[in-house]
Amino acid sequence: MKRFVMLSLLGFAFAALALPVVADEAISEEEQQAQEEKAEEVSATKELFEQTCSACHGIRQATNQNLNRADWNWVMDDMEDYGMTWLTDEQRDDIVDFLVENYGYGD
Amino acid sequence: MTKKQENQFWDRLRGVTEDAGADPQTLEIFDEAVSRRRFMGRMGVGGAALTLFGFGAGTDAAMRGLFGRGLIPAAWADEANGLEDEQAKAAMSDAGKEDGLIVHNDRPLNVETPPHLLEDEVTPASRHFIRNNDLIPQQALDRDPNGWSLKIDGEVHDELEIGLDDLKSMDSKDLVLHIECGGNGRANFDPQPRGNPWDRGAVGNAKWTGVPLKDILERAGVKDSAVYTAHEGYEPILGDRGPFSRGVPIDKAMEEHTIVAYAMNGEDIPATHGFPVRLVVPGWYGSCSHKWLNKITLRDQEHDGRGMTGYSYRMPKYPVAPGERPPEEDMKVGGPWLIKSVITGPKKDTGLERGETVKVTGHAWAGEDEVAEVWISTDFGLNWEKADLKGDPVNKYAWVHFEKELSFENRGYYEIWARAVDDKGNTQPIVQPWNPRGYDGNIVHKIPVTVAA
Repeated sequence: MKRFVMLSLLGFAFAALALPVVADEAISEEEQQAQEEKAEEVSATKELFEQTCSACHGIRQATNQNLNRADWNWVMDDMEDYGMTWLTDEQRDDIVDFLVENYGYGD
Repeated sequence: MTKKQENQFWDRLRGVTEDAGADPQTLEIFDEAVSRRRFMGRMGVGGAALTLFGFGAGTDAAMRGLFGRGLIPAAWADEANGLEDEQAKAAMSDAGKEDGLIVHNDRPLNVETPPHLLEDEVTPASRHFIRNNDLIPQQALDRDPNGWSLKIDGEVHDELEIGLDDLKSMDSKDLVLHIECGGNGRANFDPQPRGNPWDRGAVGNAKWTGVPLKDILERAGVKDSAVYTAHEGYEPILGDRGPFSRGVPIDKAMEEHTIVAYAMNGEDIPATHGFPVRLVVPGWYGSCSHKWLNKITLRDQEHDGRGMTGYSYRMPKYPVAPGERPPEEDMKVGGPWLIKSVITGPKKDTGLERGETVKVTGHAWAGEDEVAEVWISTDFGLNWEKADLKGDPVNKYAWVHFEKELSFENRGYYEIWARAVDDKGNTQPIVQPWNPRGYDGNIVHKIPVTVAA
């Protein structure tokens, strides 16, 4: 009996999980493509962030922080003084966006 | 990683580097470095890196330049956390570090001790915090003191260079001295300032053996023009920046507890704590106590090395609102440390029975001043009771130990708070005053406990 209840519950859980999937299918191909592009962008930025920052120090030096945009920009200014000179302005902005989003609390 | 995978890795990295806008000259250096890296492959990632950046290694300018731009270590770091993990692991094992310490970062290595592991009256190396700004010299990890010397120059009558045997032949002192990172307590700031989120445990109270800096400076002859020191070590620097170099006013340098130490708790100083020789400047931010020390310059002005200017280790000249960053000219060199205490027992979140007796234990220290009293509260600061101090500190700048027996008659959630008072009447705040980089954190220590029904 107990086992049956568990299985039923599992069944409900799967049904519940399936719902958003159905909803996902409802979005247009365009939207889906945009979402995928966005995901790729984020992953590319993450890689750029890791490559750039781990050039000199462990990634945790960044990921153990919780800073707002002004502070992340302040950190980046200092890192440029310490030799992080290879980023384009756009790449730098991308990394700051990524940091604010993942290791910060807004603007 | 197979040879083929490794080659693919380097090619991919070269692509990333190029895409990142590296100029042709950089790529040329990159190629040279990679070919060397492949040549040194058999030494392992850490070995090759440390050969390049270690003490006394014949590092050529091009490689340094490349390191400065961060390209070489990017590759090594990407390779399964190569260098930093290996060096960090080696350093932790060299110092016999215990499980249960909190690693904030492995490169540079930054490790704190949770309060309950600070229970010893004299902190063993296995439990002493680590705050590194840069890397640990390979020569220190090898425990190889050959070629080490301490140079004294600047505002002195005769420049001086002292070898290790010479140093050890001078009159030495054994002193128990507290060293505390300037950022200890930063995690209790709101909003959180940049920097390692040290909670309570970036502090230690080990026994150091060494020669008073005063005796060494007097051998060189201190000129009247000397007002400040500048400290340097032989550690490899992270990034393209000058050596980390802090200093203290000459009076502090000449104070008899400021020592050039060559032993920690009766043994050679572990690599990560400064082998073979470090400064210990008790009561001031830990960064004044330079590890791997090999040069002290006396200056005729406040020192302006890395760690002395801008906002680093500096405090606003007036109180600022949380989150506010005053202009640079309104900052001044921070320190000495303020009055502070830590509760080492019970451990936070301890469960107690009604009526059970629990002994509260801990330590207090007071920068340049003396600990006069420690008070304990269990009702969020409404009422305070004096703790017993276990005698005077063994020497100035050593911890004072306190204890207090408590029991709780009613069930519920409690916080045990400790608040030290110094001989001038200064005490610890309930709410942490804010500053842009999170220094001088000294709010009362609060240990949550639960009493069962």
